[in-house]
Amino acid sequence: MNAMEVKKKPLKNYLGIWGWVWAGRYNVERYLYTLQRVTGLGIILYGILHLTINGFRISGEGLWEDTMSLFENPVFAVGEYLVIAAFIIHALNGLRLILQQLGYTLGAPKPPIYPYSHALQRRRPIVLAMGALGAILLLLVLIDFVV
Amino acid sequence: MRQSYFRLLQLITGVAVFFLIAVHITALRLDDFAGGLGVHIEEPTSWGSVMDRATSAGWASFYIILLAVAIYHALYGLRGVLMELPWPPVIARSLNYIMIGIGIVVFGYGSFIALNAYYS
Repeated sequence: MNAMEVKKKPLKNYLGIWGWVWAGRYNVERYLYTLQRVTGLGIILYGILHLTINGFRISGEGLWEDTMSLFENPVFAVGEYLVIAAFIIHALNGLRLILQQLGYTLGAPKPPIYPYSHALQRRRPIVLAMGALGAILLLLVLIDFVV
Repeated sequence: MRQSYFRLLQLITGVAVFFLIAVHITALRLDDFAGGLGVHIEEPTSWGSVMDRATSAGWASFYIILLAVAIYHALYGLRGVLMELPWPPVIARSLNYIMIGIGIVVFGYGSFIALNAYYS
């Protein structure tokens, strides 16, 4: 059987939800897009729980104090840290996207001289800066939680 | 054009939510940060502390504004995600109204909690 006879399975042109996660050679900005969605959906889920538990105030002090005593479990502290981490990631990446969308990170136009650089490469420093700032904030929050 | 105003509002509410939630988290959960900024809230989740804040006009307004801004930002973002899913046409056409309905219900419930505590 020669190479011409080998039939390749055609790629699907509709990836569905899986396409949010992986569809080939995604770059770091595309994964940040996925992370923005995951953290956003996670924060919405937490917001629903937060609002529900706040509603327990209506039933009075007893139910409120009983509920709060449940949250003294360290598992909830880990969950709380993850929510704050999701907020930091979502906020900093969102700030990057706002700056990008409003054109502040585009930079001055350059003549197309070899070796060419594409727009994402020119904006990469802001990705790295936001990543570094995010890592510092995550570490500071972790210290506040642990100490 | 109207869509671009809604999109711009999404960016504005994003920045607003960032500052409001940063204040909320710092004041109530990150004691060391808050202490460094001169804010000391003793046992922020205890009934007494919660009701002290709930009956303060400043904190009650803060929470209602945060609720409104966060609901817009969250539901506009969620709508963008949901619009990519292959819904039956009737749901796809109604998605904006479903989001508006959810927003009104959640804002009504959340502000009821805040106002109920404020006037208690």
